[in-house]
Amino acid sequence: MKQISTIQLFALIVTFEIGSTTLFALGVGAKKDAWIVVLVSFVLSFILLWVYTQIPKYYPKQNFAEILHDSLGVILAKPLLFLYSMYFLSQATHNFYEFGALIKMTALPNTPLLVTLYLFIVVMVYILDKGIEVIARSIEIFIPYLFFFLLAAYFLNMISGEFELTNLLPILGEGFQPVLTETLKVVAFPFGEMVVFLTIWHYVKEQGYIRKTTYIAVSVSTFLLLIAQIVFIAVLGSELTASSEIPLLEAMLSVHIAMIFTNLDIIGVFIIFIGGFYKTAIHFFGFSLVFTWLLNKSNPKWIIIIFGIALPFLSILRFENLDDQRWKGMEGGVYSILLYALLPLLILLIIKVKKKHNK
Amino acid sequence: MLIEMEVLKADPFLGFLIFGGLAYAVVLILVLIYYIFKGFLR
Repeated sequence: MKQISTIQLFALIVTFEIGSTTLFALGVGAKKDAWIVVLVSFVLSFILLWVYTQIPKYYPKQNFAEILHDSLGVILAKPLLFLYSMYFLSQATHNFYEFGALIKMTALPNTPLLVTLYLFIVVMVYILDKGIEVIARSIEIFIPYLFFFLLAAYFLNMISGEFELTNLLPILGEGFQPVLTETLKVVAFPFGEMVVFLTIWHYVKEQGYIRKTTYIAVSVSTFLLLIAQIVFIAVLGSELTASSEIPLLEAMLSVHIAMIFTNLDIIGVFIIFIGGFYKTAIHFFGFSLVFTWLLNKSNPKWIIIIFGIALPFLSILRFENLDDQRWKGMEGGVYSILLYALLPLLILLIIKVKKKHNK
Repeated sequence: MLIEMEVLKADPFLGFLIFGGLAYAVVLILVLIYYIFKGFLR
């Protein structure tokens, strides 16, 4: 069976978590306290991560479908698998459309969106068809560059002269209420999206290290997100950060150091491209696996190819433009709490009760 | 915080996920209660 190491799992989680979050100012509804929202959400997300990583402890090396079949029975497991496959497909269309639209906006303005999406999907289908090992190994190659460019972007912003830490003051100036309101959204995105890893845990070689690796990876990615929010607000101010379409690019464009380091938006495009590609790929891979198990098959190859061809059309049919995609994502994101938090928790409780009775 | 009906009309996919998730949460709660009582009655 194909397997991935804990280092590769770490790289997968960090890339997934950073993924599309570089495009947003997370928790910017709380204005200057957006970074506090990220911090509070990170603490709350530990409960979710505990639930996700507890399930494979009862069923090591078993895939999500086998776990559901054993704990709920085939009749209840099949519709749930279908529901999760649709959820992952929904998330994949969101990521896919968003990155296609942003690449069009920033790098390929004259190319039709469908062409950009098909260029994207051809590579994605190829890499997913090769299996989890290839995805993980390719992320392992890219992650040092991703880290380097992210840290370089933050560092250059900090020394650019536009960086004003006073933009973050006063801390909690409007009380704790805006922070709490935004926290629910940030727990859902990006932390709740980690639910897709329920379909990937069984590939991990050292099952005993899943929880530890997950916590470390999420902590590292949260640290990077936290710096991002501080840099965005310190450079752009909370108003401009909230109103700009891609704060990362806006911040990068404001860097002018000695007339040498200018027009650094290319660094932003690289970060967006890598993050977006792998985030879509992992969601699409999760969908393909779950849908394959639903059909009682084991090789997701044909599902990846068929739905891969359809994915650009599905994305374009679902979303009219970037604003429409973000509106649907924001409105629906909070309510997916049922899928990313409540259902896994109930599954875990059922497993626990059943195991206790079987002792 | 209630969901805007407009978004459900504009995106049936989202509606399916929300109501599907809700329905399944109810089913799983019933299953959990069944297993808990089954354990007690043993």
